[in-house]
Parts: sequence; structure tokens; C-alpha cells
Amino acid sequence: MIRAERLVKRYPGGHEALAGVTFHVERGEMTFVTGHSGAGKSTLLRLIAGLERPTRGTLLVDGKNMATLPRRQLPRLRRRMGIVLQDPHLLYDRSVFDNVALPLAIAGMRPREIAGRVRAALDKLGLLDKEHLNPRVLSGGEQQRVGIARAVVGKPELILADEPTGNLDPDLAREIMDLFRAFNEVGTTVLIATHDIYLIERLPYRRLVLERGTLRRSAAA
Amino acid sequence: MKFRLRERRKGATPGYQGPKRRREDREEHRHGATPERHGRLADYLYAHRLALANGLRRMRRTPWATWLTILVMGIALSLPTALDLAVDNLGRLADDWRRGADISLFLTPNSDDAAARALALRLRGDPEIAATRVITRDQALAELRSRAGVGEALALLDENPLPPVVVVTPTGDDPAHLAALRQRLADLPGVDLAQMDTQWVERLQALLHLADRLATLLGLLTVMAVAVIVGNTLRLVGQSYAPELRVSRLLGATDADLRRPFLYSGVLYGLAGALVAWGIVLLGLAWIAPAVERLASHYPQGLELHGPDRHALFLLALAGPLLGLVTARVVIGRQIRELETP
Repeated sequence: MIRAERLVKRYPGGHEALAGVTFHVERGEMTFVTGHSGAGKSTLLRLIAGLERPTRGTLLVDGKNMATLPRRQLPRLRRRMGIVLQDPHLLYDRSVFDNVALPLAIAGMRPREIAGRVRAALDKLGLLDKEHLNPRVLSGGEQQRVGIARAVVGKPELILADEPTGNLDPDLAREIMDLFRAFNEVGTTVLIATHDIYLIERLPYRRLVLERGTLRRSAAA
Repeated sequence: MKFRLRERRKGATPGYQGPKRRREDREEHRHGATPERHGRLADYLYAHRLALANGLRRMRRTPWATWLTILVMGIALSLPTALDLAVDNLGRLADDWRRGADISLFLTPNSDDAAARALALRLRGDPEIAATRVITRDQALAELRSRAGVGEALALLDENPLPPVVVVTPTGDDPAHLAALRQRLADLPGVDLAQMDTQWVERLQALLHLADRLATLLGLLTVMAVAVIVGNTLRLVGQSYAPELRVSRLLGATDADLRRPFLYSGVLYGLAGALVAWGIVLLGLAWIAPAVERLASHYPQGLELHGPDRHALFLLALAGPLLGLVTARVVIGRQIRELETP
């Protein structure tokens, strides 16, 4: 699903966020990316999501070369991804329901069909009673969960999550992790960046450990 | 891409969800966001309907900005429309005046009044001539004398130097036909000069031609000004939607998806602007109509103010939306390309 070969990302000004990273994530695999903040976790996820372009090296996502993929073809790939960013980027001019409905509406789904799916996603994240609220009145953790609901509502083939449990208390964090695991169990490829070692140490998944832009080790669980 | 759902209100009561539930379960293990097939055309039409609704909603959300934009467009579009109308009316007037044109036949200098009368009588039988009238040498002299300044000079002459004149009123009013008639009359023996009393009308028409060009130029300039103004307004609107555009792109919206609601807004602004322009022109016409009537009372042929015709309305209704569409496409297209990633 994801293949990186000597992947380099250098930002203008010379900062090298990724300095030649090589790894491979199989279709249907669940993988964690760990490392201290500034190690390049976010950059890696942003490159895979096509939010930024690699400077050097190869990055294939579902066989598409992310360095050369025409801009026009990016939306099609994005519709098959569920992206959770650190900042959930919710829209405060509409309800929680409409925020979660957005990816389905973009995909051209009809309201009739959207309603059921959105409620199912909200239900999974324990937000069903919040659907009419404006996300502004929600806590940071709740907003984070709305962002996750929005990422999974379209049943993506690939979930990319950057610190999805950052704002959540330990119990909730575990529940969210279970949610991602459930998606993985039905075949979704999941890649989660987190610095919360304690949360994942007992989970049976592979870990890619980044350190100052390089892959220190690829630890199989 | 705001999305409201009728189902939401209906479904707020946690009632029967049987078939929907079951379908949900069936799809549980399927990926992708579009399991229900509607056909490409249906999807396309649906996307456009949604974009139109979104465009309208965005306009409604900022009514003040929307009305200002429409007003600016209306005023700007009314300028070329009014100019076109003015030129059109003056041209019509010139045509009317030419239609009433007589042809004056100046006989050779030594002809007498009797020759003129004879010619007038002969010409009356011509099918192309409706009426003839003779201006005798004395009458011509008297008329000339009455003009200021000329009288004293004429007093110095012992003899009337003026020839008699036969004034011919043609039956037709086709300009080419009239020109041919004038030529035929000029070639008659005893006729020195055949003059159509329309030279000033011709001059007016040449002037109007120039005015027409100027009106086109001014119209183009105003249209450009409209494009810039509307473009700037749409740019500001687009900026206020930057967060939504960024998130939508993150979720897989294509550039066309992001653009579409703005294009509809542009078209709607243009359409509403065209309507406002139409209203302004009609109000303007109503305001100057009494003045035109007063002027008309001094002209025997009368003056009639013509309002904009169907052709002008059609043009306006086409130009407004097109202008809005093109402007929105250029401005929003650029903005979307420059959108930074979240």
C-alpha cells in the first residue's frame, strides 16, 4: 500500500524533516510511527496524504508515485483515504453532523444515504447526542473525535492518523485505538503517528521509529 | 460545501430504521464512499444542483455584500445599455427625418416661373413622386431676404438672381431609391441642381456612427470595470471560505467541486445585476420621457422615445451572467490553485 525508498523531505531554508527513509506498509497492515516530536512523523504522514511533495526518493501510495502524481488525480486518491490531522480542521459554520457528512457529500452521496452513515460513525465515536451542536462548543477531545468520525465515515482503504489520541484521556484513547483496530480487522490499512508509547506498547503491531528524520528501526511487535 | 439534510430532522426521532440499518450492515465491510450507483449523468446533475444550492446559500449568508455586488453590477451594466439606447433612439430619429425629406430642383438661372410650373405639373404624373410645389423667383427672394444679413446685400442687386425651385415630395422612403430619384431629376433638362434636404441628416448619421463607436468603447470599458469589481468581491467571498475549501480538498474535493458553487454565485450575481440594470434604464426612461415630449411638440414629424427592445433585453440577460461566470472562473480558479494545504 505504501512504499518509501530513500524518501527525503527538505523544507525551504534547509531543514531536513526526512533524511532518506525506506519502509513498506502492506495492504491491510496496521503500523505505528513513533518518535519524539520533530522526528518527522507528521511530515511522513503529510507526504503520504499528498499534502506535500517529496524532495527526493520514491514514495508510492497504492502504486501512485506521490512525487509526480498530477494534481488532478490527487482527489481520487484522497477519497480513498481517511486523514486525521493533529488539528482536526473542523468547520465552525455548521453542525457536527454536517462536518462528518462533508466527505460523503464531496463523494456525491445522496442525503438519504449520508444520514445513516454519519450516524453510524458518530455512534462509534460516542458523539451521537452531539450531532446538532456546533463543534465550537465541544471540548478539544470531542473535536478530535469529530475529526476521526469524519475520517472514517467514508470507510477508507487507508487511514492516516497524526496523534489521533493527543487530546484524549487514557480510557478514550484506548477506545479510539480499538476503533482503528476494528477498521484494520476488516481490511483497512492503518498508519498512526503517535508519541504515546504506553498506549501502544502492548499492541501487536509493527512500529516505525523515527529519529531526526531517519528510521532507527522497524520493530516488529 | 455545506450540506443540510432533510432526513436529519425526520430522523431525529429514533424511530424505525429497519431497511437502512440492514443496508448499513451489508456495507459494513466495503470500502469507498459511493456504494449506491446513480449513473454518471444523475451524479453530474446532482452535483450541479448541490452547487447551485450552495452558491445561493452563500449569497444569502452575507446579504449585505450580496446586495452591494448586485447593485454595483446593475449600475455598471446599465451604462452600456443606456448608451446603446440613446444611440438607437437618435438613429431612429435621423431615419424619421430623412424619410420626410423633399428634393429641391433648382432650375437653370434664366428659367422663368412658368417653366417651373410646367415642370411641376409634368412631374406630378410620375409614380415615384407624391407631390410637387413651386417656389417662384419672388418667393425665393423674399425668403432669402428674411434671413438676417442677406437682405441688405440683395438690395444692391437690380435684378433677382434666383431661379425658381420645384420642391418634389417622393412617394418612397428607401434611401437608395431616393438617391436614384434625385439623380434622375438632376438629369432633367432645365434642372440645374437637384438637392436632397437631408445633408444635415447625413451628417447627423455620420456623427451617430461615431457616437455608436464611442458607446461601444465606453461599454467595453464599463464591462471591464464590472469584471474587476465583481472579481474583487468574489475574491473576498472566496477568502472567507478558505477554511472550507482547504478541508474539502483534504477530503478529496476536486478543483471543479470547489469552484462550482462560486461559478453559480457569479452567474446569479450577473443575472440579478442585469435585472437591476434593466430597472435603472426603465426608471431613467420614465424620468426623461416628459422632457422628450416637450421637445417633440416643436417638431412636426414628432418624436417618440423607444424603450429597450427584446434584443437588448436578451443581450443584457446574456451578458450579465456570462460576465459573472467568467469573472468567477478566473478569480476563484486562481484562488483555489493557490490554496495552501491544511
